[in-house]
This record gives sequence, C-alpha cells and structure tokens, in this order.
Amino acid sequence: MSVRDLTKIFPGRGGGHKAVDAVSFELEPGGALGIVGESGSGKTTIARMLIGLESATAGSMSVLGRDRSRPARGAAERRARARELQIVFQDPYTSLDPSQSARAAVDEVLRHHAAGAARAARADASTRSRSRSGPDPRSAPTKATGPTSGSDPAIDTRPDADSNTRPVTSPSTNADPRDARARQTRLEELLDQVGLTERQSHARPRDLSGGQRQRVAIARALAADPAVLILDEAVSALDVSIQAQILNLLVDIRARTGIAYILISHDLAVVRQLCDSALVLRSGRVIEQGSCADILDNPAEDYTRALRAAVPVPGWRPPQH
Amino acid sequence: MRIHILGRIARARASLGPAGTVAAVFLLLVLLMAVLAPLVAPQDPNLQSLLDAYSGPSGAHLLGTDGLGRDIASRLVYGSRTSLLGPTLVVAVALGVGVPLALLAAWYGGWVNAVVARVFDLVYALPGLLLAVLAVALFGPGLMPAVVALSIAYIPFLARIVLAAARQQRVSPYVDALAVQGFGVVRITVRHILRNIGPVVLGQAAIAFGYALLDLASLSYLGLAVQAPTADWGVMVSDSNALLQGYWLPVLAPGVLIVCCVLSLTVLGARISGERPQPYLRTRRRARTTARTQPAAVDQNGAAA
Repeated sequence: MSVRDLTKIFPGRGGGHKAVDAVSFELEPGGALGIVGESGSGKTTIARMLIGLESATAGSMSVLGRDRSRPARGAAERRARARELQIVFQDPYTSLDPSQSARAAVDEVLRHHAAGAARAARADASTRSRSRSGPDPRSAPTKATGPTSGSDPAIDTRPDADSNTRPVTSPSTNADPRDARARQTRLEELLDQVGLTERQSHARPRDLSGGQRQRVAIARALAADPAVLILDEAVSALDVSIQAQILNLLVDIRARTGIAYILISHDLAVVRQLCDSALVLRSGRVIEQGSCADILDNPAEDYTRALRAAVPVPGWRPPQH
Repeated sequence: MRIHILGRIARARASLGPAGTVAAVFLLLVLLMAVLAPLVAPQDPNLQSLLDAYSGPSGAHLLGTDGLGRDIASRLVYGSRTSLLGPTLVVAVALGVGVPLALLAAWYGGWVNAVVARVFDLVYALPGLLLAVLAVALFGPGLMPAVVALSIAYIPFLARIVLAAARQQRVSPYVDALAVQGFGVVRITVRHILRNIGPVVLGQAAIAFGYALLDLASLSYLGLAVQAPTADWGVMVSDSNALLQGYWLPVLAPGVLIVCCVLSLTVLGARISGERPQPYLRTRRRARTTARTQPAAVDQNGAAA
C-alpha cells in the first residue's frame, strides 16, 4: 500500500481548513503501521479518504498497485476495492446493523463477494472466449482498465475460486451447493477466528457486549479477505481488559493470515503492542515517521515526547500544581 | 407448526400490549367483514322496502332499517368495503411516492435533503380536506378525485417521519461499513435502512390510515366523495342525518364504527412504531397496590413483571 502527498482541505472561510497536509507513507504486505496523534490531528480523515468515504483534495493512494484516489465506478470496482481495504470503526455500538445477527452480517458479506467473484469469472471467461474466436479490439482496453481481471490474486485465493471451472452459463453462485458449503465453512472459520461462540453468533448486537460487537465487526471486515485492515481507534471504546483481548486477537489474526494493519490510535501503548512502524501526526502534518520502537523509545520531536509522557505508567504521579 | 404460530401470536400480544391487542383484533374483524361481506351481510344492502322504513331492531333487521327500508346491518357490512378502500388507496399512494423520496433525501443529504424536506413542509402546510374540496370542484364529486387529493396531502405526513428516521440510520457507522464492503446504495437502503425503520413506517401508515378514513367519511358525508346509493359509512350518516333527534340508530351505528376504527388504528400505529403508553402511570399504580400487600408479594410481583 502506498500513499503519496495525501491532502484534504475542508472548505470554509479563509481558504478552508487543511485537515490533512501532504501525508505520505508506505505499507509492506503483512506490515503494521501505527498512526498516532491527538484529537483533530487528521487521523480519522486519512482513514475516511483511504476507504473512499471522503474524497481527497490532492495526492494519490493505491493498494496492491491499484489506484483508489478517484471514486469507484460501478459495482464491480466497489467490490474489488472492498477486497483490498477494510475498516473497523471506533464505536462498536453503532457499527453493526441492529437487526442483523453476527452470523447474518458476516454471511451477507461472504455472499456479496462470492457473487461478485462469480460474475467477474464469468465476464472474464466470456472475454477470453471472445478473444479466442477472434481478436476484438474493444475487449483489450476494457480488460486493462476493469478491476475484474481473472489474474487478480485476491480473487483467486477465495474459497469459491473453483467457480472459474464452472460452465459460463451457470446463473448464480447460490445455485451451486459446493459454493454454499464453501461459504458455510468460511463463515464458521471466521466466527471461530474472532472467538465468537455459536450462541453469540446468533445474537442481535443489542444482546452483545462492546468487545463481542467489535469481534463481529472484525469478522465482517475479514469476510472480504482484505489485504489491509484499518483499525480506526478500534479498541478505544473498550475497557482495558477487553482491549487486551482484542489486541491479542488482532496479533493472532495477523500472524495467521498475513494481513496488513493500519492502526489509528491516540494510545501509544496500543500502537507499541501491534505495530512495526509508526507515524506521528500533528495538525494534519507528519512530524515523525519510522520504526515503532525508534519513535516510541527515542522520540526526536518534543510533540512525540509529550504524547509519550501523557501515557500513565506504574509510578506515574499527576503533575503538582 | 401449530406451536410456532401460537408463539408468534403470544409475542405479538406481548409487544402490542392489551390496548394494542384489542385494537388489532377489532381491525382484523372489520377487515374480515369487508372481505367476506356477501357471506356476513344478512341482506342485500340496497334492497328497498318502503313498508319497512324506520323499523327498529328486530329479528329480521338486527339494527333496524333506514328511511328507504334498507337493512342497516347489511349496509354497514358492505359500507366497510368502500370505507376501507379509500384510505387504503390514499396510504398506498402516499407511501409509494413519499417513502422513496424520503429515502433518497436521507441517503444523499446536503441540498437534496434540503430541497425534499422543504417541499414536504410546503405540502404539509396545505390542509388535506381543502385540497380535496378543490379537486372535487375541478373534477366533480367522486371517490377518486378525493383519494388523489388526500394522497398528495398525506405524503408529507408519512414522509417527514420516514425521512427523520432514515437520516438517523444513514449517519450510523454501520451504513459506512456496508458501503466500504462495496454494497450499492439501493441495497443498503432497502435491505438495511428500510428494514430498521420498518416499524416507524408501518406505525405512521396505520395512523395515517385512520385519519384518511375520517377525512373520506367527512367528504362522503358532505356528498363530495362516495355518492349516495353506494353503501358507505360517511354516506350512511348523511342519509339519516335529518332524523337524528327521533331516530338515532342509523346515524350512530356507522358513526361508532368510524370512531372505533380510527381509534384502533391510532392506538395500533403508536404501538407498532414503538411508543409505549406512559409507563410512570402504571408503575405508580402498581407501587400503591404493592405497598399495601406483604413484602413477599412485592418480590413475586417484581419477578412476574
């Protein structure tokens, strides 16, 4: 994942407000980047631009080499982008549909992407058969610009990748019992991975605790099998012991799946536990960037030092006034 | 299977409460009466017999007859058909136009929301009855002009509530999460937002149905909607209006039915959309009764509640 000179200016009087100012960073596959800063430093705005809920004023973003600076065009591209990047929001109480059980929420996402993969495979197969019957000058550019090319590794690793071998005429993924079974297996796997019990998985969000809801939100994000997962203050709303559980879960998931994280937090302890590299934001500008240990142990900037000093540690006393 | 249905009924009763359950059962009976009118009605509603005019309740005529000797019970039964058809059309049209507009405004927000909301406010300011009278003046009396005019007037009554509820869902992070999963606008709106605000829509539609019933009955009473020979509750009230002082049953019977239907729909609508009857009144009464009984009984009451 690569971000270059990302800038966001919210319109307003006096030229508007520069919330994010020329932020650049790289994230290796399977890496983990912490973005720290105080409230209003632009952390969440960066996240919202990355997932496409906010448009960037300037700069470029790409995941797996595919650009996402401009808004997605069409259902196929939206789906393809969903498989690149997912997010877990801060508030576990409002980030789940209140009328959907955990199981239903995760299954809906699995179905959605399975149907998309099948459609992409069909489109791809028909493109291929057309080019076999004779070179069609129009098919080449569509294939090059479209996000649905069959060589996409994100699509081929999906459990229903065998849909490529099915006849082009098959109407829907749901009709194939093999796909249904694969999806069911994947559903159980995901619920198991985030540590939800059978009973919890059938419960509505209002019957789940904050930590359990956040597990559901993580499972739903992972259901898209994304290359990168953004955790936008994903543990901030939880109490400390549950925070630790979720953080362990996240470490575990990364070790198992090789997913990359962008962890947005104001809590340096959380960043230290999960991240390899970090960047420090202040008023939308990157003021320090490097490996996590370097920044947190030997901060070069006063601001980082101040952030670090704000973390209570054993033996810490409130300043005397 | 039987247990499943009984369980559903029990759950519906619990969520509707005693008043809501009575209202729902009453409305179901009225609906059944309308659907099965030919089976339920003792006689032809339009059969005249001047010799039997103004007869009181008897074995042959359960609620007596009107000035033309028509059986009032049968006219009530058949009248439920026209009296329910009008409001059904009004609510269907108002929902059909208002809900999509409200959902559209809620999704896009910004100036789309502002324009749609202001248009709703503007239409909301028009009195429905006045609009209906205008429509009748233009197109002549009849059920259809009245229905069309009332439909327009009822759009904001439904859509403003839907817009507010949908807006609240729209800004919920779960909608963002679904958008990030690549779900389209229509799917998120229909499968998630509309589903979550369903009870609000349904409840408000029930209340609107009641008001539309009352409005159409008023218009029919004035001779502007349903026309005279047709059996209709509003028409029946106006038919026997002149003799109210000495002979009140032909007026009272349809009047009571109208009032009961509107009341039931209002109670039911409020319960469906999640309004609870003021709970502090109930707890107070319970507190007073339990204070007089033994402490052990208080515990039992608490557990039972």
